[in-house]
Amino acid sequence: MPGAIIGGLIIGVGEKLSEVYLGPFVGGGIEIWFAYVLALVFLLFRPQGLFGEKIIDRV
Amino acid sequence: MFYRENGQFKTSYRADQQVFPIAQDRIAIFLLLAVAFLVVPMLATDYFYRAILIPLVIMSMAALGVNILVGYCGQISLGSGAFMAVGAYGAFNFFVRFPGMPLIPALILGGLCATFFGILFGLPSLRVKGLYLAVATLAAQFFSDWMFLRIKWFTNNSDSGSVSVNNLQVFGIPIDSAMSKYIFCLALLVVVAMLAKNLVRGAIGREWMAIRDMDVAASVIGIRPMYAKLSAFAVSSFIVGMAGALWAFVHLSSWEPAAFSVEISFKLLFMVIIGGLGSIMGSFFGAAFIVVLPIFLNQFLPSFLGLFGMEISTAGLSHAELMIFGALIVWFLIVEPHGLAKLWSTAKQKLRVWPFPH
Repeated sequence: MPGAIIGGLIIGVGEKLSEVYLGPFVGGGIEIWFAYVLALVFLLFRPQGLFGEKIIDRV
Repeated sequence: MFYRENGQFKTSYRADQQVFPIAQDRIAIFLLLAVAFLVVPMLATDYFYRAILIPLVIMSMAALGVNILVGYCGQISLGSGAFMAVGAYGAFNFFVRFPGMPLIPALILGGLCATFFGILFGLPSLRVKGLYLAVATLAAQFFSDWMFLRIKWFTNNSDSGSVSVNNLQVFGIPIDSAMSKYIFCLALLVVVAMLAKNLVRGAIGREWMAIRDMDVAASVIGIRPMYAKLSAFAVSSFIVGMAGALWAFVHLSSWEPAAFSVEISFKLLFMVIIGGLGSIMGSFFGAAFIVVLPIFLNQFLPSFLGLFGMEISTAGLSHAELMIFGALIVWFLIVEPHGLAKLWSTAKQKLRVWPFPH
């Protein structure tokens, strides 16, 4: 539950902050994909998310 | 079919391992190619080429590429539109920035650009699976939409953001009439289809299928997941990128980034699912279904309703078209979840034992 709240905050605030502070350097409009790229980076480095348990596969 | 494979004994490994081991299949494919290359150009009209045949051929190629990734390697991708866009703009940049660049190398270089893009956005597949991967590849889609809209270098600094190519030619033969475009795309499609068919029945295709069926088990028996998944992304996005370049160069000839929106990614995924996951032939069926059905409905519905004395407005027609199209997709998936390719093989099996079914 706290994960969802914090995740929502990170995405929402991150989108706007990135638009304001990073946007001018790359031509603006990065709100469209920022959330997705953030998700992608998280999936790449921490697939279980910020507070998730480590996933263990069984065959 | 009406024939059986009885009596066709193979005496060498070579004969046993050919693409079409049954003689009648070989004849049927040969006839099909003859019809596609010789008979169709004699019959088709200009409208038929532009509205149906060229989109069908190019979309079949793209669906083949997506099928390698989604159907054979089991990695759901919603980034196919992005791979098409990267292929198209990559080929465009090579074509425009290097004077005298021939068309076919430009297409191949565009495909290679898409390959690198595909590998980059395929990296998350090493960590996540299923729906999460769909989200990760969706990032590729939105990123490419933005990239080609905002970074002016990719569109050769054109003011409106739309780019165009002209004066296409292959070995000195101009590709300008609808028929020459069709033949060119079809020839490329045949080459790509042979390539895909041979890849998926070779060692690498078996690795992809092992990863699709159970990736942990596959890695236990010594298949490198990273190599298998990334090679599937590479091959798939190369084919999809080439198809995107063809779509832009040959079909649209003047386009803007919106031509490769997320809608086209969904369409390609539908094609693969409806046609049949993990089947080369299914890609063709799926592409035919998605490309031809809306046009067919558009043409056929007014006269069908006219039989009952009903009239339909143009707006109503396009709404009805979407509704029937969606309903048919759902119905097909309920009736036959394995797609049109499965229906085809069931029909073939039924005919094979006809008239004495067991």
